[in-house]
Amino acid sequence: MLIKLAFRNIFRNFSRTFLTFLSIALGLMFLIIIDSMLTGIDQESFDRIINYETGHIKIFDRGYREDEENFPLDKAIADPAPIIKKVGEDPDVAGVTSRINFRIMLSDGIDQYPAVGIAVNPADDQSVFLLRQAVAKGEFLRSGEAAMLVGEGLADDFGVDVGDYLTVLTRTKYDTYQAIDLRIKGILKTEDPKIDWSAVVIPLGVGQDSLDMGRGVTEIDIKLKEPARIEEFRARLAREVPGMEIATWKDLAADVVAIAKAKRGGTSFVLFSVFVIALIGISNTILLAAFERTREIGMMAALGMRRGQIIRLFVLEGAMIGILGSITGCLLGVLVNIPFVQYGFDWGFVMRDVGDIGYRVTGVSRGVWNIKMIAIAFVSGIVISSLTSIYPARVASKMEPTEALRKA
Amino acid sequence: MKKTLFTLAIAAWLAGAVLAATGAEIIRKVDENLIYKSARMEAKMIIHIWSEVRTKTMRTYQKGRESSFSVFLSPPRDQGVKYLKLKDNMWIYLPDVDKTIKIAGHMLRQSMMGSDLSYEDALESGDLLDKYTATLVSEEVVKQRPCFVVDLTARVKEITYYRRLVWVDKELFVPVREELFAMSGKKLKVMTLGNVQKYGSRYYPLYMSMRNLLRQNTLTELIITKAEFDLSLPAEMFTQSSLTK
Repeated sequence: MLIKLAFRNIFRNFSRTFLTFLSIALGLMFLIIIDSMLTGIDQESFDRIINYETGHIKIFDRGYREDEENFPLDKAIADPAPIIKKVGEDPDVAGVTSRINFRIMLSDGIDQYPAVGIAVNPADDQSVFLLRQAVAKGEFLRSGEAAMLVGEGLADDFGVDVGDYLTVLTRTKYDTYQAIDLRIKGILKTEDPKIDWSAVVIPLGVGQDSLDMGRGVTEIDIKLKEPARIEEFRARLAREVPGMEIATWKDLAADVVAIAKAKRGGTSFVLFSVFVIALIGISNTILLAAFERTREIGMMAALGMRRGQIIRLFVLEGAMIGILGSITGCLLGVLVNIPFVQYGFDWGFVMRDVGDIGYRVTGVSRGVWNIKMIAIAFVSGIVISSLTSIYPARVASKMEPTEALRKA
Repeated sequence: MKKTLFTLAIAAWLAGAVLAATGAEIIRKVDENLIYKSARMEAKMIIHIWSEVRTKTMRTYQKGRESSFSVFLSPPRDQGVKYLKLKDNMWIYLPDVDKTIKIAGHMLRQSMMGSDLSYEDALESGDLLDKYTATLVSEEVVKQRPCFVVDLTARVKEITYYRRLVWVDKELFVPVREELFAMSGKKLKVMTLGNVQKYGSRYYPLYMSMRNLLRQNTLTELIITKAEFDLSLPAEMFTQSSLTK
């Protein structure tokens, strides 16, 4: 009886109900889309960090990370082979490789720009990283060849292509100037700005010779079979390779992890905004409805409807608007999210202007299906609408039947 | 036949030894001209980047090879910027923010005031013969002046330039050209010197230019407009407190 009455009531002033319904629906839709895109950017950033920069876990020589910004080649792992062998035998390890990261100036003889050099082992880099798959043009490196891969953005800046030569100016382990002319063998397109905009990749042997490193490397990179057990593995690794510094990808990408955390606060803010919109909208609709229907309330009270029933009636009306708004909002959110998940959104115009803000996204980023967030949005829409109806319902129920009838 | 070959080998070895000794001797004679107890100089730094020309003037006080204090006099943007070098350390004082910054680590590799000189180039001190093996490789005529060409190859690992090639005026023992090389043998920078003037028994070049070969259309010139040597300079000038005065 109450449900039927409430259902009829919400359509009595259609335009007002519609506005409230619309604000809930649009709020939830935006919540779902924003969460989808931001979670998508997070996941892609994390994936790219792991796939191109860090692997799951890295081993450094003690003291390296303290001075990491300066790429201290003198704090390299002098003989990585025994560690690589030991780590490679661990049943939890999917792949292991080693790299040298070093600071460079890249020159075409006309201009020079700062960049980061990465010397990779072409034989086993793909056991941890996806650089080989990211060669958009040309070919991946072979061990010992005097060639390089450059990020797409760097290649654009210099106006160079596969087959052209660039000079890598750097410093050896002993801080002596070193300059090598290398042929561009491939162009990298990873969508990770740290690679696409500023990385030059060379074979490890060429790096070791040029940098006067002997057999040294600056890091050993590990990919795990079960990334969820990373902390357990880290503890074991610390025991197996004492005296070395061990860092997980989360330690190494602390900036992006921090941004992701801050963003979760942002999503909560959107949810809070939806709550406020619903609060104002529904309170307004139901309060106005209550005043409009003063005579009706008086009549219902006179006919013996109890105060609790009147409150329930108004709360039910709010809940129904909430249910309709939530269903529509979630449906709209899901529908709009389909192309975002399928084709993504091109952030290129923002990212290139904004520059490096930590996210590893240069262009198209895809949304994700966050079922938990859709469920939260759906339930929140209904709960918020119902709760915000309580106050106007109480106001309506407090009216004296005789006074209500007289007022009308 | 064997005897002849042996004699030739000995002769070649001796010639090499003589040339090597001569190379070191030439560098020593150059040092006699360029190293002083103290100096006060006024100079103009002209930085050419493509068609743009930036001129800066400065006054420099130097004590031996290891201490120097410079203050920029113009343009207005750089006026009051001061540099202090003490052995391997360098500080810059920025008057706009009233702050002294130590130039260390990676900053040392950066360009000094937008020029082709790095802070490291400016910091370079100490005896070249401590770090390089000097060999006289040939003789050439540069700008109508007969010159020795001396090859300086590093004999220590910790060094900025692995190899240098210096053209030294045979008569005045002043360098007229210097080429700086990376470890790979690639030429990185070319320095030319000129306008040699006599100060007492010393010859000193008042013009220097530096070209970075990895960048096109850039050139830095240093023109010394006034130079006084071996004068007495107050010790407190070469302290950090002088930067903020």
